Amino acid sequence: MESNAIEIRGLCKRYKGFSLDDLNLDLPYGCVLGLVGENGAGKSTTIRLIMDALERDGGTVSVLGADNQSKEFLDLKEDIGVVLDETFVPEVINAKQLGKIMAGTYQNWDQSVYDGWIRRFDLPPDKKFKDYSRGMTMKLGIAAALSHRPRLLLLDEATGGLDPMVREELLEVFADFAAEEGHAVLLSSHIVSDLERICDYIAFLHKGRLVLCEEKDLLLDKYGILKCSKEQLANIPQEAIHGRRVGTYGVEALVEREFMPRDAVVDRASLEDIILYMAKGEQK
Amino acid sequence: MIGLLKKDLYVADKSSRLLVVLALVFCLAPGFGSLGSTYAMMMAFMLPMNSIAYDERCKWDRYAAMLPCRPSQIVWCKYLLSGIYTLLGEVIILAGAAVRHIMKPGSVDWQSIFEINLMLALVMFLVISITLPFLFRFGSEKGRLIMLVVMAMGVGTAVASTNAIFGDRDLVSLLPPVPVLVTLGAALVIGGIYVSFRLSVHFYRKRQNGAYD
Repeated sequence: MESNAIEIRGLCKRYKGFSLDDLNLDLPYGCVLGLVGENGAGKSTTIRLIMDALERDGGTVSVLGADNQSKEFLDLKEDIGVVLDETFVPEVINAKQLGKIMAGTYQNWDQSVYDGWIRRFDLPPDKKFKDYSRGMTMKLGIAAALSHRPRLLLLDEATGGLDPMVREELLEVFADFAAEEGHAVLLSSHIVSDLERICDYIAFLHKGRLVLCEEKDLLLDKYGILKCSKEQLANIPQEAIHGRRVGTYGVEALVEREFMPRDAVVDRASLEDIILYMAKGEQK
Repeated sequence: MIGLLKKDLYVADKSSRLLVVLALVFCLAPGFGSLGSTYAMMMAFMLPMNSIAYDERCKWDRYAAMLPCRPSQIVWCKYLLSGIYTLLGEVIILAGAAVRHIMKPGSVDWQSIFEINLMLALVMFLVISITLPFLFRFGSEKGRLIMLVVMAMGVGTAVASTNAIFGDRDLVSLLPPVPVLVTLGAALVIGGIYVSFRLSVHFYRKRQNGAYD
């Protein structure tokens, strides 16, 4: 079996006023990749391109070992569970009917698995979507995505707008899924703390460009927060500084630890710090 | 594909129940003549339009693109839905006629019922094959309006040119016999649906790709 569930090389997509440029990304099996970025950074576009729901303007995308524009990809979609930021199912439909729709759509559909998730998530089977809360809607989307025995989960803002209890429950589900052999998860989210908790890799998209894609632990080891005066910061090699916040009494900067003098005090940077500093660059 | 069709049938279920009841009433009530039949056939026209409007409202197409289905299957479901409701319309019309026959034997001219409803079904398929590409290209709201304008212009032009060519002559007497008319109509419908389907798939793909946003 190939080592990566997703391999993206030089992927480009251009719209009026937005372009996704030269995206390179790998998602190894057994891992959770967190895709983070501001609204309009290109996260949803990337997921749609991975599923060949959008025509790409350049590059290649390989999913579960096949080019996503090949004929065999249609069959491979059986092995991919997708949850979008809204469930996108007509509001007059209920969970029971969704199960029947999916049973007629996926050859691998397992009704008993679906019923199990519906019970576990405590979802009312006969209630229409229009009467569901956001949390219930997302849970139903996840139940549908997990009930056709997927190997790959693509989650587009699946935890956005949910209360911490529900998020906790869903993150546990995703982590359990990724832990099974031959599985992988791509999770796009604004909520960096969620990504920090369950992701093995972090990819940061900013204005359609991939700013970084690294193993989360390496990332946390690599960067730190330096608090010093403007004069002290001037003595730090510029290539080590990836963002700064200038205040009245001093400067806080995101720095690469390996370039720091031994006596410099560098605090631990959270993933959120790293993302924010990199996105905003220099702030006053 | 069965899943997609089920979804469309679930969505159509509530509105179709009301339409079926009304169609039954029109087909059973005396005095409505072919109006009842026309109404029953209108279901085939209205329900796919409603289905597309529902899809747009919940952005179903974005989700459908993630499923193991081809765009052509997603589009074909709307044509199939129309076919299913045309059949249902035919069943309602025949059921209405049968009830009228039982209540008043000899009151139903079966041959003319078959002929009229066959022609109605063909006309309905033609209307659908004209309508659906507009809906896939322009969306349900704009598409309906543009389609109405185009149809009105088409009918207006046809009536005006018929009057100019044939004047006061009895047009019905000029028509070919019914079997010939039905064969010609069926050929026109098959060709029309083929072209219409290809156009709809083309527009659907372009819409999916954000070409009309």
